[in-house]
Amino acid sequence: MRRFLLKRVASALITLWLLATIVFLIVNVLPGDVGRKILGPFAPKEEVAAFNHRLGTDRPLLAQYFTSIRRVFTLDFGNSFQSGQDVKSIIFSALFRSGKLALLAFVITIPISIAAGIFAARRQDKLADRVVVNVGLASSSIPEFVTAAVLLSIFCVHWKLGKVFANPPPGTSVIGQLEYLLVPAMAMVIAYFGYIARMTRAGVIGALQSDYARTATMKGLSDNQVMRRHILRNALGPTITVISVQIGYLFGGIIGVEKVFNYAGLGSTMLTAVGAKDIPVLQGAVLLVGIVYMLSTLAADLLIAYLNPRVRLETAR
Amino acid sequence: MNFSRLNQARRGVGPLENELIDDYVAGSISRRTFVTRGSVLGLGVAFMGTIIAACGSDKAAAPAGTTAPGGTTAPGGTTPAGGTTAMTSKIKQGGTLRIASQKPGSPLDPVAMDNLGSYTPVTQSFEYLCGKGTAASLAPALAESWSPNADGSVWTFKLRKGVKWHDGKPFTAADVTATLDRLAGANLKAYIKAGSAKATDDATVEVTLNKPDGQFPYQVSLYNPQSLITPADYVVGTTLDKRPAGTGPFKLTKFDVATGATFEANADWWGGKPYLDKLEFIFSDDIATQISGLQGQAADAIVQFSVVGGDALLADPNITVESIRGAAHRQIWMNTREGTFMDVKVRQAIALGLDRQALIDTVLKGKGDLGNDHPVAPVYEYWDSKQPQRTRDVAKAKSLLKDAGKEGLKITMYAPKLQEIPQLAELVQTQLKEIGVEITLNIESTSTFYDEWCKTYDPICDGGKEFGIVDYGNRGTPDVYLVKAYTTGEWNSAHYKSDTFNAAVAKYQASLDTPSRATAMVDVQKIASEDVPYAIPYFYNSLTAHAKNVSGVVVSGLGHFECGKAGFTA
Amino acid sequence: MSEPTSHDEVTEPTTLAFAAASEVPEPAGGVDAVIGGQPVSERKQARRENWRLIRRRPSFIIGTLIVTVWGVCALLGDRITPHSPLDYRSTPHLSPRGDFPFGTDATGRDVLSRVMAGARDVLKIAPLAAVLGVLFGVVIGMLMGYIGGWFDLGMSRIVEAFLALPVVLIALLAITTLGSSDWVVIGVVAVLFTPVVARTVRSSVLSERSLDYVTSANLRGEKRSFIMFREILPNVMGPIIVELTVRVGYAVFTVATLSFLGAGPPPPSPDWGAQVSDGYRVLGAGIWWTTFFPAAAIASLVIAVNLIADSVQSVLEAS
Repeated sequence: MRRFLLKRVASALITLWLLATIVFLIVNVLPGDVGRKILGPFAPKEEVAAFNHRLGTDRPLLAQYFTSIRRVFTLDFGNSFQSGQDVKSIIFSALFRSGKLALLAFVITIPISIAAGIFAARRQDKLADRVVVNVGLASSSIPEFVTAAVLLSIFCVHWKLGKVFANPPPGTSVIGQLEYLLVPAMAMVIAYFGYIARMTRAGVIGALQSDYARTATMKGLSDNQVMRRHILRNALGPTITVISVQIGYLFGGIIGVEKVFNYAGLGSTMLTAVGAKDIPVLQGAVLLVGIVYMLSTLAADLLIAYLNPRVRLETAR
Repeated sequence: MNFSRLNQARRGVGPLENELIDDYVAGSISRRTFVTRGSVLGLGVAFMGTIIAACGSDKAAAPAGTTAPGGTTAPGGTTPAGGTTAMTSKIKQGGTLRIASQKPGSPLDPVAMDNLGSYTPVTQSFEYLCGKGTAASLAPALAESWSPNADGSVWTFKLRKGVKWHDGKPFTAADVTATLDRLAGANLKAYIKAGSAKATDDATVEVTLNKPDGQFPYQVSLYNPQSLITPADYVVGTTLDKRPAGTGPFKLTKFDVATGATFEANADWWGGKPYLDKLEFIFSDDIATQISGLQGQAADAIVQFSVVGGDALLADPNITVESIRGAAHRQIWMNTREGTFMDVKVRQAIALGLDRQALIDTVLKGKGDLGNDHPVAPVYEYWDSKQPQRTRDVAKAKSLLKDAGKEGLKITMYAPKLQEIPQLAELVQTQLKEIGVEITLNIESTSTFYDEWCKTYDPICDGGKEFGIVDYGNRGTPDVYLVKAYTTGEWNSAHYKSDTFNAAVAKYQASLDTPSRATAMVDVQKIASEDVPYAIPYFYNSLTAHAKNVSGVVVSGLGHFECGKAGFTA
Repeated sequence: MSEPTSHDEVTEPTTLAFAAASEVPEPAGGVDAVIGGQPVSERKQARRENWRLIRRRPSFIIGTLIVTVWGVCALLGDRITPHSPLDYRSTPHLSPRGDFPFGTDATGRDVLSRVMAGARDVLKIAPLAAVLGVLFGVVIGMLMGYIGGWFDLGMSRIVEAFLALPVVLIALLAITTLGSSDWVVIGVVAVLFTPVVARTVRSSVLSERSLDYVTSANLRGEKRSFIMFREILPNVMGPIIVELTVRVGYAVFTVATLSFLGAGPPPPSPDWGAQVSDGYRVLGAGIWWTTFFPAAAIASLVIAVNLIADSVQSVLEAS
């Protein structure tokens, strides 16, 4: 187990370094001159040069590269070009917000979709199964930004049940925040429901057909006992992997929903940073998403290992 | 005509003012023009009212807009409300105004800020010497009055007394001279040098200009957004959130660039205690979200929106849309120096191919003024209204293209993805198809667009694209457009160069009164229209919107959203 | 089919997903579903049989029908649209009615015509991006799985790093950098899909490697390239075909999201994502048709592709 963990951590560190390198490469091919972009098209040349010097963007690329790698491991990304604020505080508060939204979405999605998946698997190829499969397929085929925009105009503008601006004012109680976050979270729930439900269904069907399930049934265990003791443990593995992978995505990729609801999460922070060529924020945010992604896949692996002891015996590839 | 009253009134003012009065008395300018120009020269409203009354041209003793919100006399004897919300009598005390506004694109630095998202919050705390009056005119703000010397080379600003900074220190002439010294090296480089501004006493500042300028107060007004007055001990680069200072009606209490800002009322404001207790800014880069927010009652006001995408607001009975006429416009530039558009006939053909009214109707839903291929908007009192309006003439356009040997012209048009510009570009594409011009559109993100628009920045706009659409915001005078886009070349994407035009502009700028400006403008408009370096299809109104129960907000169309006299109606 | 990113090595709810599930050793019921090593003629026959089974599935028929309709729209474009998708103007924002079944948009264009013509943009970009992505992915994945060792280890880390990137954002960045031409979008989406595919293929190859037919080929002294592409490749074709169909769906999704975020083809292109992006601003005013129809078009195409993918998958799995 320790060997397994150590290996995972070591490979995560290497991945992090590679990630930082990729980000550095991408960011440095962005068009335009940073100082020019920030000071605007009409600032005199000298001012732009002085500004670039102050930011350090006029140093040799290699020197900038080492700085940026050091920054990844010290989590110090300097100050935002755009607002002058400390990047760490910007991205961590954005992460916190995205985290809240994602958590709410998951708390709703996971039980519903796993239950639906099991329900469908046990009625494989019957009407109920087809309904779950097709509703799931359809719901996850609609892009989140469409779902978000529709929910916004129905629930927040028309019926005024939710808030158009999803950022709760500071000091809002946890329950109070639900009013702000529920509708955007629903957009995500709709997008992920089908995905996780279908995943669970497939896992359960696979497990139901396996030898051990048949053996257990032959031993005289009831369906429910088989489901709880044997099938779920095995079938949830891939589902957990999907979820962990989605966590990484949720933190970084939920741009559409955040944009529509004006939610100051990591996605919209990055979107703004792309437009403004705010490199420190961009670097910090992308790396943060990477770290979260890696942590969540690691957690998922550990969780699977816990659920399914056979996995523990093998070492990571 | 009551000459004794007139003469009595004249005694207290200088030659520029008297020329203006002469013009008005002689009937060569309208009352509206008189009031507007008078405000620039620093004539008090009461004074102008006296003149108007003495002339007896109208029963109303004072120009429109003299009555302040709440029916009381506003500071300085005029209303800071630039004719925005009229029915202001029932404003009640208290409440929080939630304003959805663009995310600040730069730190809240009163000197270095460069975009609407920053102007709106910063100007809640910091103020200008001259504020917004009706139409394009000025109203007293930190300066109670101002006046030029005989040739407009020295301007004297009388400062408002009893004004306090948010930290309790008194506001004095020293703060103004320090601010102007700072601006002399930056924003006002063309107008003053360090040391040009001298405090003659605690409440008087005398500014000696590099060269005479009859419209200098515009440079220290909200039309030059970076000319905010900051404390004498202000350090360049200090942002409002690091040091919440100012003289304005609201003090910053909280700021988070990702989500918003909160301001609380400054009970000691010189304009009196604001009706509102608090302002809450909700930052959003997506206009659609802001609009939904206003409709969903998550916000009470949005600072600016365009008709495209704003249909929802125009139709909403619970929402008031303020439409502010101004000089903001779009320029369709054509490179006059080389390439396709060197021949003026081609440029004229393009201009003749445009159906301007259709553009205004579709893209602006009628909220704009016709453009005539020059940047002098009808809101300027020296605008030459007699110039014939260019209208669509497909046959003539085609024959011009034929003469120039450019039949079947194919060209790429560049434009930024900004407000209504993409739709404008699409319609221009369709309209010009009828004169046989095939346009390929290249609509780019604003950042990419401006990177490419004028490739080299100084001294001349060079290496940019030959054909495209670029935006110009509202200004109190057309000088910026005329100088930067047409003469000096800093933003001269058309590479336009014409000595006769430059002479006409110089004549306009040297004019110290409205009639001579109007005379000079005749040529400016005519030459610009004939040479068409830029086709200018319309001047669009700046739109702002708020809930029906909000009243008293002053907007400039530049991003100012003054709430000192705003509040909720009962 | 929710996410337009590549964080989806577990792409679809099948046993394939098990094989693809990252570092997680497969739980029961895993890779043994992959087609074993039969002789070539048997393989051909099996393939024909599979194809017959696929064609008979209703989900395949429905999916193909929808894709065909969009394909026809894309091919014929403004030759079959009721009005010109670009130039025709009527009154802006007319609600759906007889002459404009889908209503008109903000500048008075016919939404139906634009939705029909919009099929071209997406069908030009998405399948090509998916094919390229799968192609790169297969080559890299095969090499990783077959060569193994340090190469595999190194590439795995790079793949992992790519998977941790927020894809839509990186695509957006790249498109801002390189400009938004069709080829840039195709290239960017393909590159971002590559690691995901590589990972799936690698897992399949790994499980094939230990099988008898590979061992015997090794013993026969066959060349590595021969073993890789002539022996292993045909046997992992199943997962690859599934991956391809799934990727097409994702590509449609990703391309739509990119244009929603402003990196799509420039106006006046009738691109679906861009139409939604313009339209959703006025949803609040009750103008739903400028958003609904292009959005429904996106969803129908994604669903159709998924239906096809589903049937391909279930048949290949069962065989």
